Amino acid sequence: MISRAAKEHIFAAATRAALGLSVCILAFLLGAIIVRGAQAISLDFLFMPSRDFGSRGGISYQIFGSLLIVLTAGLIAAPLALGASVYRSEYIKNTAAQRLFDLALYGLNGVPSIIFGLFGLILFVNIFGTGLSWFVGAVILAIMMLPTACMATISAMRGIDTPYRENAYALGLTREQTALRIIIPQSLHGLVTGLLIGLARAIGETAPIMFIATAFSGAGVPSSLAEPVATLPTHILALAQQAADPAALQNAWGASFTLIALVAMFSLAAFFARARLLPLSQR
Amino acid sequence: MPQSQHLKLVSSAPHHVAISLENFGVWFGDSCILSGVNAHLPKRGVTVLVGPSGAGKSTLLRALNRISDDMAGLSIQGRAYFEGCEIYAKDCDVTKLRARIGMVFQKPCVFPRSIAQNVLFGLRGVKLSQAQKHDIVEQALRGAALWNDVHARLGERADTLSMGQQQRLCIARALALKPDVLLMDEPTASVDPVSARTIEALMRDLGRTIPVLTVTHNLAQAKRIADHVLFLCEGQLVEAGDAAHMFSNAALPKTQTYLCDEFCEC
Ligand SMILES: Nc1ncnc2c1ncn2[C@@H]1O[C@H](COP(=O)(O)OP(=O)(O)OP(=O)(O)O)[C@@H](O)[C@H]1O
Ligand SMILES: [Mg+2]
Repeated sequence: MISRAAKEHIFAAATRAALGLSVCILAFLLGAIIVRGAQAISLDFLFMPSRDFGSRGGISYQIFGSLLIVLTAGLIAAPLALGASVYRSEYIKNTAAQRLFDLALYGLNGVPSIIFGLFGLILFVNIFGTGLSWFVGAVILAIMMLPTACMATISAMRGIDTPYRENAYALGLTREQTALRIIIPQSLHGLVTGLLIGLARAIGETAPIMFIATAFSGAGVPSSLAEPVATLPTHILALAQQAADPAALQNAWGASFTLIALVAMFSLAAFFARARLLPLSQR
Repeated sequence: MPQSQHLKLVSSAPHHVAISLENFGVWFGDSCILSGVNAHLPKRGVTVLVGPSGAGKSTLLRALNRISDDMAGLSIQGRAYFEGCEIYAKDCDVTKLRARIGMVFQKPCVFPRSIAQNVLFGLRGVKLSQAQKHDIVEQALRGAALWNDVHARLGERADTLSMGQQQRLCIARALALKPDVLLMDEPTASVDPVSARTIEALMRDLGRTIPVLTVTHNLAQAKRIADHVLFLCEGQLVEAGDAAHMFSNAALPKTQTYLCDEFCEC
């Protein structure tokens, strides 16, 4: 028989060990990238285009391409997420239908990113004949971000007390007016946080965009929607394949560092956006 | 028989009645909250709805302007008429109905906007000049006895007001729409005694022009403001009548005990 106190000790020790291990792994990963990557970072590296398939020069077009794709994806995802969330939260009253909707969201969230890449390749590049296009990449990333953004928005909408809705209805507001004037303003923090978390995830994705939206070399600033761009994750992939060349490896670390810094920026932005946009009543 | 079909849609209530209920009932799932309610709300005066907790007073009020429509499992029995039109008819314009039947809830709930914006909230679709807006805000706030408290800070956020002030703001918000009926669910429950008296006076005032249906647990207050009394118990309308009659010689012993502030075994 193990005493109750001993059981508690074991449980506490196990949770502590789990936490310690995760922190260690994270610290090791970040430490390696920061130490190695920081050496590669310079103003030239950040603001010069790459040469020799990335082993020389910088990553300016990759940074530009990554930001262009994910920010466009965010702009596409925002209205879709808002619309879907309002519909789920304010219009669907049937519990079975609500469950079905949630199930669809979870399902979409669980689709491996390579499948999205394949879907984009077949639907847009092959059937619609768009060719390699950064915009198609943005559309695919927007679809990938949708569940995260929707879930955060819906949960913010669930947090709005029913009396707000009832008081608005009692003043003769329609469901649309109530959604526009009460529900959306009071759940913006959820939408923005969800989108930024989605952006932070999307900017690191390689699989969904590498067949449809990116070029490994030679891509600059696109002059139309139907041109590829260079992006950080695909650039890292290409550099990793030339790892035998120390200069390429050095640049791969530098690009990884930059990518992680961008992810961290989006995550921080999500944190501050939440704090700023949270309605007074919920702070 | 088109004749009788037509008759069904129009209440047989006399002209001095604003809202009439015929065999009205409310169910949530398979629990019956209200049943067989037959009552009239006169076109003028304050009607006080009294009854023990859980009697179904709020349920009745919320059914009259169809605020409960979205609640899971709600079903309505019998008929309710507002100025002769059936409230639960398929072609009833619920939004218009709600705008005409003002409602003040038990707990104040102001929107996270300025005080002035709260007052104008129900009028957002209406084109109004700045001066008109100001007039409406002032009139509504005066009507709700809040003007003196807040006239210097109309632009401040409404959630900075005290509970009692918020409740009066909710009343002002309803008044700004110039409703044809005002339903009030324990409007003085979260308000200090002085504000409560102001709201009572306001109800008396309003009662001269429109019907006011209010719920209260405070029998002394009921005596002060009531022109008519409805006594509800366990989802049934026990007795209804003029205030004077109900408070002095109600027909049923149950009503007498309740209205005399004694323990009620209903
Ligand atoms: N959504 C609901 N589902 C099921 N039952 C409900 C629902 N809302 C209210 N009820 C029940 O209906 C009955 C009447 O409730 P109601 O709120 O109308 O009482 P009330 O007379 O207003 O009481 P109080 O004076 O305490 O406010 C209660 O027994 C309550 O439990
Ligand atoms: Mg109640």
